[in-house]
Amino acid sequence: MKKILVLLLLLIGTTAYADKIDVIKHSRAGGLIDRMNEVIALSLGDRFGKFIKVENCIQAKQIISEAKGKVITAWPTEREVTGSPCNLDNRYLLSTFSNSPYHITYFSGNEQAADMNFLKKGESVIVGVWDSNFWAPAQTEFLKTINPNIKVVRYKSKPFRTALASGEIDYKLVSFPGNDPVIGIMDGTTLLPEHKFSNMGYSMMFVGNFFYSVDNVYNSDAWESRKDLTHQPWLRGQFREYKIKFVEEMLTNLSNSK
Amino acid sequence: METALVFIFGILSGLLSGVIPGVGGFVLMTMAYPFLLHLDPVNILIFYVTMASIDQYFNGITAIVFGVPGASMNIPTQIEGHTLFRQGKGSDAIMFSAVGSYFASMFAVLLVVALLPVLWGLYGVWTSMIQSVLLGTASLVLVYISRNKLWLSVLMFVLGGVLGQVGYREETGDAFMTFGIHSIYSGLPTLAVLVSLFVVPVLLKSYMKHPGSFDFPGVTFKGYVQVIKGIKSYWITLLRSSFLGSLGGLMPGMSFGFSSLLAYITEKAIRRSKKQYKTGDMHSLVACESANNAGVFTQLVPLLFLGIPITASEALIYNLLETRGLPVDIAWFKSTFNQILIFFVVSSFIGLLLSAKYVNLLRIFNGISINKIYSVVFVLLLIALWQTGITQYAGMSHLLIALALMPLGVLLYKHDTTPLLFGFLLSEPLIDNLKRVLVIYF
Repeated sequence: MKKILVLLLLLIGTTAYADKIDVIKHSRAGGLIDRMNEVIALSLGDRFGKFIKVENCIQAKQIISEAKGKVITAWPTEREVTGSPCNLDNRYLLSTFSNSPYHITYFSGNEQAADMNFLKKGESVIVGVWDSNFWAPAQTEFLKTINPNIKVVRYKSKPFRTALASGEIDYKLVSFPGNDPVIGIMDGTTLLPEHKFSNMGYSMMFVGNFFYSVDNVYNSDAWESRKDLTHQPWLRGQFREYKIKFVEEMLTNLSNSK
Repeated sequence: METALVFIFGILSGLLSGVIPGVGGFVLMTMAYPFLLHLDPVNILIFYVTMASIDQYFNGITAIVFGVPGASMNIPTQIEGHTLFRQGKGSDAIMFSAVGSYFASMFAVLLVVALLPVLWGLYGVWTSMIQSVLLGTASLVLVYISRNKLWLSVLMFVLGGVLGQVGYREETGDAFMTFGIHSIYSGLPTLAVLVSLFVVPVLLKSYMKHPGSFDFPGVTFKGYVQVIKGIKSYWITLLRSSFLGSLGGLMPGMSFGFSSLLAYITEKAIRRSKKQYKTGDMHSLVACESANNAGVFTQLVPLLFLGIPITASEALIYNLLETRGLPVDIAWFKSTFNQILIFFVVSSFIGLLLSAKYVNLLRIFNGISINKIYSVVFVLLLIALWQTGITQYAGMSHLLIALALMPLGVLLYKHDTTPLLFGFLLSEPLIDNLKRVLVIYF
């Protein structure tokens, strides 16, 4: 009887352990993707195992494909572009996750930049964008269509934070505007609706090595209380195959802007 | 009660991160994440301030006594402080560093309070052009004041720059010298480069040329009183370096690590121009140590008053606070300022006392062959390398990278490898800034 009890306890313990889900952290601490992974971890509640922190997306890719336990993570969509060393096999793409339109923001108190005419017709307008070979060409193409005089400057994390305050750029193109005032949103309606990149947004996929419905995240309190409110569920309710096809087409379009 | 426990935990964490090379505040915060997650938000900030403040006092001691800089910002401390230690002036080096650091911490507090009304104006001048000029000037001066022949220093700086570019850049999609090895896609780990190309040559040189015994007379209360009296002759150095260190903490993208280097090379250049500089220079040591401590406090300003985290640790804090679902806004940050200020002042004083009291424990090593101590330090460094790598599932690869770079460090042991190291550390921000300057201004 004792042996059976011990076996039962062991079985329950093992099942509980096996049921835990780890979340991979593979991006800059405190950044958007990192925050989204926090949301995913919190949404798991008791099923959350641990964070697996890796230095880069290649190591993350390796863990997704080789881990024995269950792992999930939020994954920037651009990594799925053909030729990227971080490109994951489609079987690990569980779903699309979140999408936010790009916002054009300016520094509070900059009256010149607060005038839409300055963005559209100014002779010397400088816009800061995130340093990305994937997104920046399409963003540049879109901004130059608004005003050919726009100069686009690429920024990495730290200097981007104070670029507006220093006055060296007039506008910033970001998916989450924070407290900065917004002059335009690339949501497909307010700025150049006819342009092929008018509704370009920053998006993420939901990836992992086992099936886990992204709706579990959307339905959680953690998702409700997320900071990045402009990031909304992306293609929610669609079939997985449709989502993957949609992403492939989107990436092809964006790649063609290079 | 919770605040008191957090404060003690912060002190212990600062001690650990200061004493163990490579285990910086960020690593400890990551380890303490589950614990921090349950704390009152103000206590999270108190933990961070206390840890960072204490860390600075003990980081310096490890560099001075054992010749091991815990982080890149302690390289100048190692150069000047450990030389002083080997000359039998270790006690003075520790006491002057500690007192200078305390002075700089208080300077930073006063500066922040004075600057609050004009803070945004300060950020208005922080353009890519200014950053490029600062980084460029620092690089040039650094190469110029090195002990090597000029051509060798230039070559080392360039080589360091090349090593700094190794890795895969997700933003550009380019891989540079990665040879398909996954572990170097994120670039060469800083600690591995620091150990192989700086610590190893320095220890090896001491090992070959200056055998002897560990000799540390310790510090005394009387000694501290004398140092406090004697620090008067350093007041210009202290003011200058405290200001530079404070500036580094305030400015995103600059970091107080860079500003402490700036304070050091400024002091060294001035001392050299007066023909007063010789390796093991107390003024230069006081300059870099005080700049470090000033920056520790001012780096909180962008977070507290602008809601901008400028270091990885701060980003983690910001993230933690948000995860708690609280309205983390500027108003909240500002409301915490007074409490944070008090805890910083108190922890600085405790840092000063602790470093004074417990540093005497190191006398147990007195009489042991210094070469034996270096050997043990070397092994411990390898363990630290492995251990810090493990937090990213890359313990063995960090170790292998360090071992692969070590022959170069051994080859260069007779030379001053600081240009190589700072080429590695500064090349990325320098290139990044120059690229932006070209687009904006030309």
